[in-house]
Formats: sequence, structure tokens, C-alpha cells
Amino acid sequence: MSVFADNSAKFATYLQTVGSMPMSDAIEWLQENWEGDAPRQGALNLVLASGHKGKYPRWRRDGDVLTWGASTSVPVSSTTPEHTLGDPSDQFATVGMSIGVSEHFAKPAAAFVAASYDLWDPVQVWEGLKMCPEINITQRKRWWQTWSTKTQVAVTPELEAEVNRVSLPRTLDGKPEETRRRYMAVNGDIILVSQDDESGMSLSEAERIARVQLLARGTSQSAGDPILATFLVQSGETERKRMDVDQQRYQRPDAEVETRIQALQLESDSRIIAMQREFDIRLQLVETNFKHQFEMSQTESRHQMEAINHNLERLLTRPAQEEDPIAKADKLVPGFGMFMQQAFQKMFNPPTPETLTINLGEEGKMSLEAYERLEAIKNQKEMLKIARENLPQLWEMGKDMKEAKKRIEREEQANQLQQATCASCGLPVAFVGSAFQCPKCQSIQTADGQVIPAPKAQPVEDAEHTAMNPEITTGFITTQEAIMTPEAIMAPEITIQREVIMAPEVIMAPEVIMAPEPTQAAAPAGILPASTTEYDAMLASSVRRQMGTEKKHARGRPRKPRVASLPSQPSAEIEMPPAPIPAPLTHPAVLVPAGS
Amino acid sequence: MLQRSLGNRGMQKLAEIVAERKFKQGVISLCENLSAQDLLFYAEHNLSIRDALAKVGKRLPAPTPSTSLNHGVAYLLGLPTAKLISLISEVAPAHAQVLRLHPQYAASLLTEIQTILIK
Repeated sequence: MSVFADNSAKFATYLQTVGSMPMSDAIEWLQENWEGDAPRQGALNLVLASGHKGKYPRWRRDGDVLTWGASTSVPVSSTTPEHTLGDPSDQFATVGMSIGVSEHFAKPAAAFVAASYDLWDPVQVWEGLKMCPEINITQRKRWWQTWSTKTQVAVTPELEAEVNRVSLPRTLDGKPEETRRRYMAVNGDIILVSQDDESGMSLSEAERIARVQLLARGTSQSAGDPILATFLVQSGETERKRMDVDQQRYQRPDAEVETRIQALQLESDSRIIAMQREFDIRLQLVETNFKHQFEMSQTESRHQMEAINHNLERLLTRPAQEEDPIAKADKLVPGFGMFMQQAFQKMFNPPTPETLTINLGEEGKMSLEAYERLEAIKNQKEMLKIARENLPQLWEMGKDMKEAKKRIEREEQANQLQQATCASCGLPVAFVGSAFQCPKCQSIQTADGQVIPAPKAQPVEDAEHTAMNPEITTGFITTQEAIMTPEAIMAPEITIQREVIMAPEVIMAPEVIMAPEPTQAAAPAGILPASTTEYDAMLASSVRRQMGTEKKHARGRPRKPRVASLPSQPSAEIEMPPAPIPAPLTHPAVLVPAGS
Repeated sequence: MLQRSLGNRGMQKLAEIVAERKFKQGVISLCENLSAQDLLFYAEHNLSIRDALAKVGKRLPAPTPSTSLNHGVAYLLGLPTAKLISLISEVAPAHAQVLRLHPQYAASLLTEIQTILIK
């Protein structure tokens, strides 16, 4: 139960006890016995009205007197319906909904007005309703009117007029513009009449009546079309009215605006005057400056002319030209003037550098190319350092591979097969090393063509035997570096060992076997001198002895080494030239038979 | 943290970059002592690293059982010969030229280097 319902029930009990009482006494009693906050006039009126109006009235109002008991036609209820005695905001919303405002809009608007404005003051209620644009203006008016009637609060005529003219346009004076015009339909024509004429009607009504008149007269609307003409006239009038209003708006400035405009004009005038004065002063300054410059230029030109005259006089009066200072210095110290000239020339015209240099501060200057090279080396070193630190295993592996390559190369060089033809017997042979011994003639030959002939030709049987036994044909031959002294003739030093490989098929070739025995004369001339035959034989014998290739199975008595007599030379050294590094073989080492 | 910022694909790419860098470092380290001429010699004689080490009485390092086949290792093992030669050409162009001249030898040699690097 709300405050309204409580107070209404108390008043009903009191009125039932009293029977009847005047309206003023009832209001006074309610003010004295009101429970809650001090009531406003509207609230009291609402409570009193809720009892004699509505669907179930409990008392009736006859003029200014309230009497208990409703009229006989209306049933009397002991209880008041809740919707009429709820909170003021509920009652306000109920009023709005009763006049057609939807509940969706009415309840929020009522809550807003009740919370922000005084519901018992019509002015504030209207202000609150004006803040609710979602509600139609007509409904707002109706709502306000109904609420005012319900609360029975006195409304001033100004407020009522304001509410009623709210939709009308206003002029600049604040008065509502009289746009509603009056028309009259006369024989199918619409005529504009005065506003005071009571027989005037609205445009739509006049149009309707004019159409009826035309139909009654039996003429069509299209003949002459007066209604359209009337509408056009009306449109023109409206436009003219609007233009008048605009003209009035812009042609009648306020006094304040006029004052401001005058002030602006005065200000602009004063500014223009100040600018004019400033311009005049500047013009005077420029003029004075030009005048001074002109005078100065005149003075300067006069001075220049005087200087030229003076110089000319000096030139004309001077007896001889002054001597060149360089020549003068040369005269004093011969060559000093030229030296100074060159020094000055070098100082002021230095030669263009051929390469760009970079200044490295304390380290001095360096050419760009050298700097780039140095940087590249530094970067490379840095990369190598990182690689070494990270992968020492691979670095070691690279070293090992380098070493392995050297070894392999040495072995290859040792195993390199060479092709040659025996200079004594013409037998083509393949050998490894720097020298070989011909299996046929037993002469020892070096790779560069030197021949040490055999002391005695080997018999054919021996050759055949040797050829038939590959083990014999493959042996070691030792080239020696003998020092031929009387004391140590037979003590050569073995320095190099080379292996002689002979292909058996070549040895078994018939040409080789049937080849004539080589003779000493068959040796190519020029390899060794003829006078050294004995010496060569001695040397070859000693070599064979060292190598162990001396025939131990020879028939007859064993061959003794021949002791050579001392050569004509007291001592001699035979140095075997180093074997040239052969080119790698591109084909297998197969000997080719002689003559092929 | 790194995996969260890079993602799986980013981590794989990082592993690939690291593997390539390690391969190049290995090539630099190997080629510091082994010149292009030496490599040409080995290529002409078709001698592998194993053979070369055998000449000096050494052997290739034994495989490590704990070697995990992560993405970088798998990537390095799966690289084709042409790609490996291009990587070599970045740090040792002369050696790469030799390997291009002998593609069959290059394939066997690079396999050996790959195997050494992932150990």
C-alpha cells in the first residue's frame, strides 16, 4: 500500500463517520492528518478525486461539498482500486497510457518526469514532457492536460497558451506566427477570406466542398482546374511569407549587433589609417636610403677615377719596371728563386693522389685497396679461427689428407712407369725409376739417355734364360754414386734404389730374342766418350756387384770382377742427374715391340 | 621461449640454418689445410677421406651411438649434392669448382663429410 492509499482509507473512514464536509475542510483535515511527507495541493486533490471519480466511487462531490456514499447508479466499493492510488509516477504513467501512449514509452517517461521534476507543478510537468521527444507532441499536450485536470492544480493562462502554441512557428518577436489561413468554397472555386470570418474553413475542407460543388454542377475538375490554381497560389503565398520572414530576420539586426558592427568598422578604419602611416614612413626611409646609396656610389666612383689617374701618373712617371722577385732571388742565390717557386707551386697545387687513402688515426694512412685487402684477410682469419675452434677434427683431417697426398705422390713418382728404347740394342722397355738395365744387352741407361754399356755381351742362352724367368727380370738395380779414388774404388755408396719391371711378353717377343747382339759401336755416339770405355765397364761391374745381379750361374769359371786400372783422372764423381718428374700416364704401361 | 616465439616451422628453419652454418664451418676447417689442388688430386685418383686417412695410419671417427636424428641432422643428410656444392662455393669456390668437375667423387666425398659433421 502506498501513502496515497493509506491516507485515502483514513479519509474515507473519517468521511464515513462525519457523513459530509466541505471541500476546504477536507483538504485541511488531510493536511493535518497526512502521513508521510508534507503533501502538495495536487496530491491532496488526487486523493480527494480518487474517491468520487473512477469506476467504484466511495463518496460524491456536490459542488463544494463531499458526501459519503456514491450515487445509486454507481456501485460503492469499500476498497479503492490500486491503479488509482499507486505511486505518483505510476499514476502519471497510467494517465499517459489511458490517453493512448504506449506502455513502452509511457512508463519510462513517467519515471523520468517523476524523478526529475515536480509532478504537482504543471510548469515542471510540461518541462519534463518536453524532454521526451519520443512521444508525439499531440499526445504530450493531452497527457499534460489530463494530468492537470486530474490533480486539479490551477494552470496559468500563459502556460496553457504556451502549451497550445508549441507547434506553431514563431517570428523574431517571439509571437506565434499566424499561418492558419481561412478559405471558402464558392461555386467550385476556393477563395481566401479573412481570418476573422467565421465561415472560413481550412484548405482541405474547402477543397472537399469545392469538389462536391463541381460534381453537383456537373462539370469536371479538369476544366480550368481551379483547385490546382488555388494550390499554386497557396504555395506561392507560403513561399512569399517565408521570404518575408527571412527578410525580416536579416533586415532587423539588434542594437547590440549594430553597435558591434560600428565598433568593427571603427577598428578597421583605425587599422587602415595605421597601415597607411606605417607605409608612408617606410616609403620615406626607402627614399632616404636610395638617396644615400646614390651619393655613396658617386663618391666611390670619383675615388676610383682618382686612383686610376694616380696609377696612370705613376706608370707614366716611373722610369723602369720593377724586377721579378724570383729573378732577384736567383741573382742573390743561384737556384734559390726557382726552388722557392717549385715549393710554392707544390704547396698550393699539390699533385692529385693516384689512389684513395684512408686515415686510420694513430695507425696512419693506408690506401683503400690495401685496407680492403687487410680487412678481407682479417675476416678470413676470423672465420678460420671460428672453424678451428668449432671443428678441430676436420682441421686435423685436412692436415692428414695433405700429408697423405704427399705420400701418395711420392709413391706414384716411385712407381711411375717410363718407356724407353735401349740405346745399345734398340729394345723397347718400360722401367720405373731414373735408370734401367737392358735385359738384353745388360747395359745400364739413365732416363736422360746416358748409357753405361755392359762389359761383355750376354749369351743368347742367358738372355733366354733370363727372359723365361720373370723373377730374374724383375730385380733391383742400384745406381751408384762412386767416388773413384785408389783406396776406395770398390766401395761405392748406394744412394738410390729403383725397380726395373719388364713385361714377359715383350721379352718373349721373337724380334727381341732374334735381335743381333749389340756392339759397342752400336751405342749412340755422344753419350759417353770412347776413351772412357774401361772406366764405364768398371763402373757397371761394380754396380752389378752391389745389386746382386751378377750372374752366379754362368758357365765355366765364375766371372771375376775386373779391376780397372786407374783412370787418367785422379778422382772423379759421377752424379746421377735427378729423375725428371714425369707427366701422369694416360695409358697403361704396356711395352710396344720394337719397330712398332 | 624461443619455440613459443618462433613456432614449430620457425624452429625447423632455425635448425636448418644452424646445420648449414655448421656444414660451412666444417668445409672451411677442412679446406684450410686441403687446397683445391689437393682435392683435384684426390678426385682424379678417386681416393676418399677414409683412404687418405688410412695412408697416414688414421681412421675416420667412430659413429656416436647417442647421435640424435634431429631436424637439422636430417636436413643436412637429405640435402642434394648440388645444394651442398653451392654451400661449399660460398666459402671455398675453388674447391666447389673441383667438385663440379667430378660429380661422382663429389657425391661420395660429401656423404663422408656429412657423416663426420653429424657425429
